[in-house]
Amino acid sequence: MTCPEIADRLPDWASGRLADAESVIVAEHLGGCEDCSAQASVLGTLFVARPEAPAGLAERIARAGRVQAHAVPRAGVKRAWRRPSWALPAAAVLVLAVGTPILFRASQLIEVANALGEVPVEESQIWIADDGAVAGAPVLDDLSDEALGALVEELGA
Amino acid sequence: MKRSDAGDVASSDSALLHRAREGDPGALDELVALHQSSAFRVALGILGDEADAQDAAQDGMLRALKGLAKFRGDASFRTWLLAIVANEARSLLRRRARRRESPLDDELPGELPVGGVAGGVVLRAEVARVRALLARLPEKQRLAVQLRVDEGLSFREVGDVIGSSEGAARVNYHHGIRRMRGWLKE
Repeated sequence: MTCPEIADRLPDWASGRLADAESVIVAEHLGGCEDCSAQASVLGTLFVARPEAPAGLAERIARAGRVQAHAVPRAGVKRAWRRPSWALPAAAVLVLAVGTPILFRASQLIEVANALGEVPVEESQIWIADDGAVAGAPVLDDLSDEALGALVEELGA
Repeated sequence: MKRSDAGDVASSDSALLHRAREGDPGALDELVALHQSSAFRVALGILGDEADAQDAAQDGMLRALKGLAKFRGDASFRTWLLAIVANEARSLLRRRARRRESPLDDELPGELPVGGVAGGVVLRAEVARVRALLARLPEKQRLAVQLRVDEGLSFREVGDVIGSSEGAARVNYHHGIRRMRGWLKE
């Protein structure tokens, strides 16, 4: 192999990712090439010193994500969301009244839904998804019209 | 990680994505645990600040996981994820820049610690010095080096993350390494 070909492989060699057969070829080249060897030394130092995520980051991310009752749209599963005829106007009124969509935060919906005793939701077991807390979320799916009305009223208060 | 290990990660990603699409929240936790360090490093490489990098890694990972339905599998999941995290970090950097000077410029080391290799052991000062020099590279070169060395991405994958062609990613990487070696000789 030429020096440029070796140089392309050095990051994998320095980090121990290179397959054994190629690793032998690179090692032989480095034994006789001062320039490539110096470059390998820099790359090895870089790799050894790569920072790791701070402790607790994964848990922090997972906690932030666990606010919705389903992970992602399920393949091949059609949602059966019973939307009462007054739900959209009520939601629009709610947004206008409060002036910010922040009230749609799923955690608040969950808290209120739990308070209503309609849908026991374990926050530690659920994630938010793109289609959000309002559209098709099980938190609201299972609420009766009466409970949903109470929810809208409470959020709007 | 050898090439076969990289394949194992991709295979693991594939299995986890399948479980996630079936609605298994545990799969999302596992994806986060598997890729959090890479996401953090990419964000740190752009932002140069640990707290900001954690924020960007979190926001980027959540954005990606919430939008899994949009992942078409054209690239590997990790490449796709890291591109989203990088965008999130750049976005945060722009917001920060409106309020203050670039943190990377602020943190350029005045006099770099002198280090060296003794008895086959890389001294802590040398390690810190090399990472500090990496932080001095322009963003695309810095990311190209980081993604190639730290994450083991191919040049094509590096290009996908930094928004360039495979050839440009290779050029950025080699320019970055050359500059770092020049600084190390000073």
